[in-house]
Amino acid sequence: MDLFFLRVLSNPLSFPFLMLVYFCCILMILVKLTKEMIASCKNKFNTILSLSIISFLLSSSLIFYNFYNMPKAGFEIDDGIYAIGSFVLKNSGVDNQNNTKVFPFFPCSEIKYHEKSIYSVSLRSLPAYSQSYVQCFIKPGFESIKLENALFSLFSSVLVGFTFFMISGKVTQSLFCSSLFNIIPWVHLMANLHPEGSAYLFGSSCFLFAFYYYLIKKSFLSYVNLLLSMIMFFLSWAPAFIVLPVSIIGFTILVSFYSKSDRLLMLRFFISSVLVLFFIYIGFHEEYGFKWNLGRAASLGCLPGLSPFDYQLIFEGLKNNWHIYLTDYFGYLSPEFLFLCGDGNLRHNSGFGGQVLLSLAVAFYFALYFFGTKKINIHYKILFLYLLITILPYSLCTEGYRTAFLHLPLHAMRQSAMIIPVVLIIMVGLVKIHEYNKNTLIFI
Amino acid sequence: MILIGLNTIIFYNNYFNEYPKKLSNIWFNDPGIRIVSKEAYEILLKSPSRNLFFNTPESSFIYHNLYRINPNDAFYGNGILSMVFSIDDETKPLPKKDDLILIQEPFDPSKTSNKIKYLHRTTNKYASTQYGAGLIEIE
Repeated sequence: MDLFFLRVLSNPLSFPFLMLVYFCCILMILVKLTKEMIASCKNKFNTILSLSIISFLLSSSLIFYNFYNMPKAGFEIDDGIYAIGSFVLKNSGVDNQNNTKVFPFFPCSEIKYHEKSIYSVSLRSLPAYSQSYVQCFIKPGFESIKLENALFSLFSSVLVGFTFFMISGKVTQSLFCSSLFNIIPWVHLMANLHPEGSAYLFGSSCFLFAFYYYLIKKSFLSYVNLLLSMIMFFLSWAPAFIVLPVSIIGFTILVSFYSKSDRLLMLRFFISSVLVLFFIYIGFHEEYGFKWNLGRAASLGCLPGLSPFDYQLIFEGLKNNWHIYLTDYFGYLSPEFLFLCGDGNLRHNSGFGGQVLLSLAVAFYFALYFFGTKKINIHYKILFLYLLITILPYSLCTEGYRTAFLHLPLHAMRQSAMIIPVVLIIMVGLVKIHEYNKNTLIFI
Repeated sequence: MILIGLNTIIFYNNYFNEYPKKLSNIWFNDPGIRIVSKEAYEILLKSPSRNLFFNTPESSFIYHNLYRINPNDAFYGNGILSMVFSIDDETKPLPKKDDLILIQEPFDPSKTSNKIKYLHRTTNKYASTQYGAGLIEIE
């Protein structure tokens, strides 16, 4: 066994240990859900089901097609520092900057030549330790970074499929939903970018999946899974510092308001979530890595007054720039960004239309129309709310290339968490279109 | 479904054939650096009296040789890494004959020495520019 695993097992409160527990937990849940899926389609194996399985396998394999030959879209140094930092953490258990804590929650990475540091950054725990795990199975470097990104995308697609299964209860639709996720240009771009972006996408899918599972199953396992998924999400990338707390508040209010029977459940969720975030903050707010993450979010204009915290500055920023923030916010929902042109930066956009395939535009806006006009169930409400929340962090940000028509600084990479609700909403739209047109060939 | 299928096929055709060209023309993440970094490592291993200067991202040399760098050396910057210097480092030793330079083009040779010889030069097959990466020896 690799020494890294032994070191992880002997540090049960470290992040890589929590990752192991989380993966065991999610594996158990996925096995359970797969059994449910198999049970629900027993004696119903037909052409559509086999087609959906084939489409899922085919679309997943396309993430790995021409894998090592595609030029990487990110800065080489950003990839390099992750690979080096994770390599050091894997082999020594500490980072090479602040080497006192074993497997720190906010590790740093330094590039050193002849004992002198020439470049240093703070790493995010989820992508950094995932890279350490990947390096246990593949040689460290360019290949391990690429593989990590692709695996994050693949795991996200699986979780998206299972999330849709919980919403709809239909196996075929959930498999098509996973396939849909895999073929979206935005997902392919994320699989070719930095580990942080794809980790954020993965964290977002983990959190949403865990929340639905908790709401539906109400079991102890679902509760543990939810808490762990929140930690994974929170430590995936800086935008999660905003998305997660707002989601906790938003979900609690929404579910408590619409589903009286779940109020106790939501109270437990809210208290535990606040405690988890409180302990992370109390435990780590003095750490260099935590300050670095927060400071970077603030320096990008993501919220003036965030670091150091100044309530008045935040309020003034919101008051003076509300119209800019609002335009940016709705810019992310515009057809121009999603379906026509996308992010102006070719690192974040394939140059072929928008972030999502143009042919899915009708389904997306139809679903939004459906959400707005019909009486919808709580699952769709959560989905819609999550979409609105994931847009939040970088609509408050002035960083990003100007888009073609609207000239808004929209940043597709930093909004990768948004892909999850967008795909699920598109799938809802496709299903609803199908329901309205059962006798036509639109959905076949 | 037919529409989505067609849209997907056109997208993949574009993504795998056209996108790499567009990407290479706007962004420096040259695959050639991988090749020359690995070559530089092998030369340094054979002749430890040489120094390597780099005009590439700071991480390139370690990143592309990470699989054969001693973890302890990566931690402290010792071992083979003590022979590697940034070209912009003002405290670097003076480049001498037979020293190596790892470059990402465009490159100004006057930063080190005018007498240089290319040991290996790569060009980015996707990019429309002639810029590439190279490993240079000082004569």
